[in-house]
Amino acid sequence: MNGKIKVFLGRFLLVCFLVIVFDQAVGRLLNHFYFKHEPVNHNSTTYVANYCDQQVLIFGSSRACYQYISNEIADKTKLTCFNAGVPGNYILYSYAMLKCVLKRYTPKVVVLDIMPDEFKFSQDNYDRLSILLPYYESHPEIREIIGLKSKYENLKLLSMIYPFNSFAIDIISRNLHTNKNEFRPDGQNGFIPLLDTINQPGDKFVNKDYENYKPDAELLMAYNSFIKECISHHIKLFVFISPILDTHLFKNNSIKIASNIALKNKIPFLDCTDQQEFKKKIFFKDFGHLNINGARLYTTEVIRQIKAQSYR
Amino acid sequence: MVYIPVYILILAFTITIDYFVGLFLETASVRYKKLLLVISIISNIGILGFFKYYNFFTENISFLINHLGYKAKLSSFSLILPIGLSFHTFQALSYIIEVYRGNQKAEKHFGIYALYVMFFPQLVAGPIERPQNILYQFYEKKVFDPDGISSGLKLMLRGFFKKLVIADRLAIYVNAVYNHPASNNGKSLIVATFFFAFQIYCDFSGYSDIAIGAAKVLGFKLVTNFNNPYLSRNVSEFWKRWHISLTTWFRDYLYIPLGGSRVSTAKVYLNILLVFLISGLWHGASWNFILWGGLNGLYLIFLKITRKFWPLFYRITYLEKIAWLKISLQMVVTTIFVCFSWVFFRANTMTDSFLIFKRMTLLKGELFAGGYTLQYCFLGIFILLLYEIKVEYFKKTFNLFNNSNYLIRNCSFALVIVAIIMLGVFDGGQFIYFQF
Repeated sequence: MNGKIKVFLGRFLLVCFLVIVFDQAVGRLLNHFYFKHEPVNHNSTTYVANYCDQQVLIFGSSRACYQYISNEIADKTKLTCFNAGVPGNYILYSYAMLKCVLKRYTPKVVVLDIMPDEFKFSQDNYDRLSILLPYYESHPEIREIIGLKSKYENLKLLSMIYPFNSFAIDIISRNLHTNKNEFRPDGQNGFIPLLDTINQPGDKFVNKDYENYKPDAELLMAYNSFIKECISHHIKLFVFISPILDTHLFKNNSIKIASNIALKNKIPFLDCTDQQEFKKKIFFKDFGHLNINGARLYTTEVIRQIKAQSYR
Repeated sequence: MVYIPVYILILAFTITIDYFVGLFLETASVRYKKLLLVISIISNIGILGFFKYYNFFTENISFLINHLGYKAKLSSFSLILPIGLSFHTFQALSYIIEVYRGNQKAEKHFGIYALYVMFFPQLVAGPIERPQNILYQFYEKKVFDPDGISSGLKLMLRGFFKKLVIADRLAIYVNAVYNHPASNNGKSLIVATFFFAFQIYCDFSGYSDIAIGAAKVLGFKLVTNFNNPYLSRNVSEFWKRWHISLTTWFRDYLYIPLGGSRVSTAKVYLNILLVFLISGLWHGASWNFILWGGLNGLYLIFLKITRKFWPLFYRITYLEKIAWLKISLQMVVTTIFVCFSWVFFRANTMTDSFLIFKRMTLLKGELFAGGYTLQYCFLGIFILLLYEIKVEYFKKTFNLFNNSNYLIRNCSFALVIVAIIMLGVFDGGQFIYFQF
């Protein structure tokens, strides 16, 4: 019996040893190829975390990425500008990116675009923090935020491969393709234009939904901390909620909360969800995203706000 | 999923009833035997019916009454379905029926009988065990068996790969498309339907592998629940390879008692249809599941009607002489038919099912990719099919996981673990079959 146990344990330990060896080897390989290429347009996370040096930074989700024309902001404000918005990532991601940036330099102006329901709990908000996992090792300042993903995250991160979970095809693809430079001639400093127009019958869209939810404490904390960091670094911060096509009869909880916090901290806050000039289909790709026509109009408004506040 | 401690009383109630019914069945006269059987069936099916089907029936009866011009609204309850209820109900029923038939002696030890119903690896989603296969194992003295532990762990590893790398990845694509059928074109809907076929397979067979593997580690042998179903050459074969413990349950306790194949042709067809309709209803209280079951029943009836035609067809088309082509075509056609029925199973509502079928013909527009999700999905399915084809057709050729060289063997397992860490989805949801 003892002999059997010994053989079994021996085999078990061998498999464990092999897993550790493969994990280390493959993990290092993935790490090398993930960071090997010059940061490219579709990977603004690496660029923002490690390289960017612009004076104006725009943070937010797809509604930041597709709607703030960074080159136009740069032209009109005479400040360099980069759009750091990443689709599907919200305040936790924005706060993590701000922390990475502040480790290297202090931008002059920061624009934070938030969702109308920014503080509503969604597991996705936490799951999508996996985009930050490759930066866990090199950016200790964001470890606390990554820790929100799950209570076992620190344990999982003992693996070298885990930070690159679900990145394998992405890594292969970006290393095989030739888009080597972030600032190609056609590069738009993080802004991605949407060219289509919404195809939905009707002209007026009214949303009667009302949801009274308790704001998620972690998301609220991240928003507060984002503001506090900007204030302590003397950054001119703007919080915007960009336009949506449908008219909501009931104001979302998050808008009121975000507005109150901004007001308390004397931060310029602009909620465009009700602005009638944007309520036209020609400006939208879908209900929540402006197309290039809408982005132009909206960026003009953003520039106006930045200029007005800066000259105060 | 919520934890409701009081729900344990449901199990306690049925276990107690079935335990005593089992004991009395052994000594009762024929007349009382039937009565005892009916008591047990009513108490088991009654609880299942109340929790799972009460609201479905009241809603439909209310709808029917209102449709006939009368005003009525039968009250419904807000009930949370106890996890695995359908599974342990069927497992308890198979014990009672087997004791009634005299194939199994009644279990004298209450604890052992309770363990039979609640054996943790298979409590929530099967495999649905027969008393003859598992009860005696609870009396066996268990000794440390490194080979059993090792093969159990291997099975569990296969299950985790299926669940985390394939099923949960496919779920991302399927959910994105099926939750918004009106916004997706035919190409995306077809691909999502194909993906769902593999999602549900890997989700459920992955769970079964983990359950069977966990039991094996503890020294218990559970029945096989899946046998490469997508390599089936017709729908009849598919059902012999898919959720085997449930299919055989319906065969032994419903189809055969209804007369099986030993009755008139029309009655055979009716029996098949009835069994599949009930099987659909077993999966869920919704017309979608009933339609899914009915459609599969119709497939089988069609196969029975045309069984003489196919050999002739293969002879005329010379497919008979090109075996590999014939087999491949049969597999593809079977998969298409099965996929077609999965639409009803996965669609959120009946309206959605028909909308999906309608939109499947609209092939204009780009295929939804969801970042690299599409590639990960195809990669997962490719790995799965490669493995299953190897197991099915090339069992004796080069073998990684059972290689005689211990280094190759162990390296293979280590690489599977690494692949799970690299390609798995760790934020995924529950096992689909937990809801049944």
